[in-house]
Amino acid sequence: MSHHTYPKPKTLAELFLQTAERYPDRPGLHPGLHPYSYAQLKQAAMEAAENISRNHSGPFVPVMADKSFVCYTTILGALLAGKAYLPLNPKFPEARNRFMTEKAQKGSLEIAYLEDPGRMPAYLLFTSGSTGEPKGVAVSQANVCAYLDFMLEAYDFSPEDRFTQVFDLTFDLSVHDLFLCWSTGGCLCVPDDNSSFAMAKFIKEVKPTVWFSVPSTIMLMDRMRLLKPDAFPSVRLSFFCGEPLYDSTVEAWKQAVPNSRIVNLYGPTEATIAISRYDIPANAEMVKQEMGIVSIGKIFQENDYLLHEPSQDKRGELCLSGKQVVDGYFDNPAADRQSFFTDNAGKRWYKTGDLVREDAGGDLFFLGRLDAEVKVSGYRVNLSEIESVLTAHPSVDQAVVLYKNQNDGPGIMIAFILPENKDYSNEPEMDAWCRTKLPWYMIPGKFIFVDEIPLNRNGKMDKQALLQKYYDGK
Amino acid sequence: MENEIRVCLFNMILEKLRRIGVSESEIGDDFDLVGSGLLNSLEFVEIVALLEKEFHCEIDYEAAFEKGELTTPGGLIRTFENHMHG
Repeated sequence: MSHHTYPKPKTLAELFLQTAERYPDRPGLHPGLHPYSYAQLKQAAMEAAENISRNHSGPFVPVMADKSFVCYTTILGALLAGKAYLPLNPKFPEARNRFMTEKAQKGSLEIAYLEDPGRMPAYLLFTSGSTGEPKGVAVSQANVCAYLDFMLEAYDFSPEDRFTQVFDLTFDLSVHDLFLCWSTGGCLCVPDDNSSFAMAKFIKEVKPTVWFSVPSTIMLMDRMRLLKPDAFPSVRLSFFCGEPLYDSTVEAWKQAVPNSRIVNLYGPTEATIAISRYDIPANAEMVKQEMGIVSIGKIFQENDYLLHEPSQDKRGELCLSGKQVVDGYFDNPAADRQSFFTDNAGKRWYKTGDLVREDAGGDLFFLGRLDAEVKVSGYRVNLSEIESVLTAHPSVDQAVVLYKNQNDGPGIMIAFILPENKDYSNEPEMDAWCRTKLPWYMIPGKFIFVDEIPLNRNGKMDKQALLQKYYDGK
Repeated sequence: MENEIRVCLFNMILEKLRRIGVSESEIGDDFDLVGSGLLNSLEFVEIVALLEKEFHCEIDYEAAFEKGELTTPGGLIRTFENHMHG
């Protein structure tokens, strides 16, 4: 049974205030060594809200998302002031943070949004774009509340729960951490050190009950032999999202968390955190998987899906519609035309670019991408965006970035660079150039200087020839 | 033995160092290989796996991390030495 029995809040601010009133003395945030009660959080958030209302014009409040007490209370303050938060990442290059801030300032919101609290954005995030510029996604209060309502009904969270907060706040999966926790009166546990090396220590010390991460965090912990039998008995619910979940990862994690249910979530930022789920059965033989990748299950109620141009065996591009799906990108009509459409009945759909298969039981399986997008540690990376950045360098004539799968573990991004001057091959300069413009997860793993970009018979770039000539075996 | 481990480690990260335009002599024993962005976590774990294979031992990640010695050249070399002698 759900503990979510009080009146349903319509905004994240209402939701937080309701919880803070109900559990003022319970710990609501535990960053580092010092826990803060809901009363303390509320007090600081109210002060931040007053400050924001007085000094900040415009609907978006930039927050340097360093996971400090001030950072979390500024997020809450922005929401209490009736605004949306725009997380900036201290690990991002300054140029990228500046781009996001300026874009938020310049972009406009329809008047209708400002008059309806449900349609007001709750947060603005940016995701990698094919044109060389990140695309903004303004997720509304109603979008997030629909997600939270579903999850609160589906899983038995309680005020005793301790939620992990591993995700960067520029990653929308962090919204799950913060607001599922603050809906239930639980405590948000923030690791000091976000690296995979520190996770075992963090879990043992903090004893979280609800875990949420990308699968690669677990794969790394497994490779470091940190997933010993019954290592983390406190965990009772484990969620994974952001990357394909392999059944081998599930098996490794299960050993360490014998008391936990394990759930595979799936969802693009445009559909608010996650929009499908697969509850992994305890019996390993019952787990639905394809090529070792666990099913992403069924789309949440109150949302709809269709497969665009499905094949006979029900494979096609997944399109999403419903309460969790945004209407379009933030101030970016060109990207809207590419990824959104309205059907004859007037229903708005988002084309995910994800190729999926639906089985006879209605469960979905992620098969891959239909475009140049890849996932690195759960982050969406459009390879064309990296190519645009590289081509903007004065010494670069053309750049092609390819993603090559590696046998054991995640793949590698390789940048093939055709320089303006054939004698140019300055790898440190390319690396430094990228680091001033792209976040760490978009920096290619290799730069290879080439004397030509091979073309196929149709005059298109020949990826295989490029890899064979300049990469394979070198 | 310390020297053998050091040579092996630096051979493995040589390409990465070249890429950021840094020479081996500029890397101190307390340089954080991961925190500095030179290696990501996966690359680091792969290097440890290669060192483990080379020196026929398995390190205790948890203990090394606890000591704050995991991701620096000095710490990593000490960790391997201890495991080989222990």
